[in-house]
Amino acid sequence: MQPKFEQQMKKGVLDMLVLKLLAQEKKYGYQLISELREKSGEVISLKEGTLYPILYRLEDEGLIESRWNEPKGREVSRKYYDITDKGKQVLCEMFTLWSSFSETIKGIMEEESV
Amino acid sequence: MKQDVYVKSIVRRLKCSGKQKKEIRKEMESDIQTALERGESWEQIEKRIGTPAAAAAEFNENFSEEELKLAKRNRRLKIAAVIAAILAAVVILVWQLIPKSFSLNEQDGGFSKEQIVKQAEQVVHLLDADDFDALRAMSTKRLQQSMTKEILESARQQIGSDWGKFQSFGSVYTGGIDQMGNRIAVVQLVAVYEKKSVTYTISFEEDGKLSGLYMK
Repeated sequence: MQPKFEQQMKKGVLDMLVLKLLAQEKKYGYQLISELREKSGEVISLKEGTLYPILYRLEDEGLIESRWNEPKGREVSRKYYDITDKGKQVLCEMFTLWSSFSETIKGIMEEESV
Repeated sequence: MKQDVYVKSIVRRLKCSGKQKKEIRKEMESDIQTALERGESWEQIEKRIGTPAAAAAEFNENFSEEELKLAKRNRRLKIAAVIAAILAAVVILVWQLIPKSFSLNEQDGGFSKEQIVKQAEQVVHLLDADDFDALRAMSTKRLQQSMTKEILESARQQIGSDWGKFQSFGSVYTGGIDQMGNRIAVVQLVAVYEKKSVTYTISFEEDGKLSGLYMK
């Protein structure tokens, strides 16, 4: 597949996917990258340069919040992200929109071509 | 590349605020440490994230418009601050270089007005007597080079060949110049000769050394 086209399509859903993963439980950056890769069967392989700006933007918009944890023993301190109530509401709206959108696109794409 | 150097190299290239850079650095270091603990090798991590230039480019491509604008504004402010500091330093330096005059009161620091005038009169008498050795002895090292018979004769000739005998001193003006803390007393003294009046401008440093001699 054309890498640029693939990138554009993925970008459209990343906010929604990140919010969904955080709706399940709070997570840190590396965790989000790993889970997205595993759950998408390696289709969505995010790099830090894409994920972090998404997280900062979602936080600025009040959809998620972050906190550095207190490390125990020799554990490394991690920055955990968690979804807010506003984020949960927006996630719902995003998914509704996505579902309707993808149905519409599917309908058009499945029309017979001349 | 070492881990801390690698992260620093990425962060240096980011087009975001200083506060954001700090946060990104801390998060990247934490995530890299977690990846190492989970069994990834440092080489695998480096390959996965990419070169510092590529990683930074990806960040910059994905920063929000607000973040990029803020970074630009902060960069402009930093540049403006540096320019202002340089200009201030230049102004201070120029101000210090500009000589400032001060009036010579009866006793002004190392200068005694009466003493300075007497010294200036002595210089004139020594000149009239062609006592170049004495003049050199009371001069600064720099001025000593000009205290030769040839140079002083040449200066006199420009005013006139025969002045006649010294008669008296006329009007006297005194003043001071301060340049970067270096204070000099200046005496302008009219000497009346039989056939001419000569105005001497004579300067002394604070230690009493003769530092300048001009006649017209």
